Amino acid sequence: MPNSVTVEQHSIIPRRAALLLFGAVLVFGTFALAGPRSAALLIVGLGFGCVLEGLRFGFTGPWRAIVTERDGRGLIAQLFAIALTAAVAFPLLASHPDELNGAYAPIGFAMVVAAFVFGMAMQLVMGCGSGTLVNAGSGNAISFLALLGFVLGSFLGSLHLAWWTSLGSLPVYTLQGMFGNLGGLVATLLGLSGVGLIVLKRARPGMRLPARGLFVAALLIALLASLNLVIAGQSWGVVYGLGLWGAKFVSAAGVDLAANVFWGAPAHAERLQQSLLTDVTSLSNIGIIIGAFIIMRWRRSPGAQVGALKPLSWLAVALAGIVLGYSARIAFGCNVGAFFSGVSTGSLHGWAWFIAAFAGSILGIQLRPRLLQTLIPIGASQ
Amino acid sequence: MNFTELPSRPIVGYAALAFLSLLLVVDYMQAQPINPYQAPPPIALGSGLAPTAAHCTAF
Repeated sequence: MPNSVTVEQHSIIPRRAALLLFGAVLVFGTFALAGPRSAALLIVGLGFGCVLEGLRFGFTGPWRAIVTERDGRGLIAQLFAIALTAAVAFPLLASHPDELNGAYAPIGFAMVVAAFVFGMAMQLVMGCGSGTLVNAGSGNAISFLALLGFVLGSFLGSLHLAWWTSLGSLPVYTLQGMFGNLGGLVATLLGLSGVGLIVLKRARPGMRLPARGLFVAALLIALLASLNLVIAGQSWGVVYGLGLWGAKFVSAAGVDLAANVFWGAPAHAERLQQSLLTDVTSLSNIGIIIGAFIIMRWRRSPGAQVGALKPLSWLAVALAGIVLGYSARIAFGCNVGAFFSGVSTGSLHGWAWFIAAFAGSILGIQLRPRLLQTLIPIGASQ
Repeated sequence: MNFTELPSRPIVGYAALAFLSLLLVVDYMQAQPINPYQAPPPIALGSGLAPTAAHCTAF
C-alpha cells in the first residue's frame, strides 16, 4: 500500500511540524511576557504532559491494578520515581534551605479523612490530580468535565481549609527533622523499599517489575520533578494552581475574596493579583494539559473516545470532580503535591496521605461497580 | 446535546485548550501587568532568594 502510506505521511508530517511550532511559540511567548523562569517551568510542565501521556505513567491505574489484578508494575515505577527524586531533593534542600522549599504540611484529622476521600473519588473518576489534567488534554471527555469540577472543588476547599484544619492538626514533621538530613533520606528510601517489598509480594509472577519503557518514564518524571524543584524553588504540585484558577474566575465575576481567611492572606492575595504566567503550579498544570494534547495529536490515531454516558452520569462525573478538588485541597495536595512531592522531600504528611488515600482507593474500587455501574462506563485512566 | 454520542478526542482536546485560553484571558483582564524587569532569576537554586510561590501544602 505505498500510496496510502505516502498520503498518510504527507498528512501527519505537517501536523507534527505544526505541533512543534505550537509548543515553541508557547514557550517563547511565555519567555517574552513573563521571563525565563516562567518559560522554563512551562517546558517542565510540557515535559510532564508528554511523559505522562506518551509513556502511560500514571497513579490511579497502578493503584487499582495491584489490588484487582495483582499487577505491581506501575506502583513499583511510582516508588522508583519518588526514590530517585528524593535522592536529588534531600541533598538540595539541605544545602540550600533558604532557596528551596519541600512539600511540608501537617498531619491532621481532616487531612487524613480528605486523603481517604480523595483516594476513593479518584477510583470513581478514574483519574487523580495529574491524571485528570493529562486525560483532559488528551481528549478524554469524562476527564475534561472532571477537570472543571476539580477547579471548582479546589477553590471551594480553599475557602474552608482553615476551618477543617482547626479541627486538629499536629505540627509539621519532616523526616529530616526527626533523623537528620542523611537519616531522613535513608528513612525515606527504606520506607519506599518496604512498600515496594509489599507490592512485590502481592504481585503475581511476571507482574512485578516494570517494562523498560515504564522505568524510563519513572526516570524522566524524577528528572522533571527535580528540575521543578531547582527552577521554582518548590516541589511539583497541582492542586494549588487549580484552586487559584477557580479564584480567578470567581474574582472576575465580581466576588471580593479579600475577607476569606485563605485568599485574604498576603501570600495568596498576591497570587490572586499576579498573572498566572508567574504562578508555578499554574504553569506546570498548563504545560501538562498542552503536553498531553500534543502527544494525542502527534499520534497517527488519537484513539477512541471513552464510552458514552447516560445523562445523569454527567452530573455524577462533575460531582466526583468537585469532591476530588475539595478533598485534595483539605488534604494539602493530591497524589502529586502530597504523595509524590511530600514523600520525596521528607514530609511525614506525605506518608499519612499515602496510607489514607490507598485505603480510600481500595474502597473506591469496591464501590465503583456497585455505585457507578449504570452511571459511569469504564474508560481510560491515568 | 446528545448524551449518547461524545465528541472525538481531538475536539475535546481543543475544548481543553479553549478553556485554558479563556482562563488566561480572564486572568489578563484582572491581573496586574507583568513587569519583565522584575522577573525572577531563571532558576531558584543559587539565586540567593527565598521562594515566594505557593504550593498545595500552603495553608
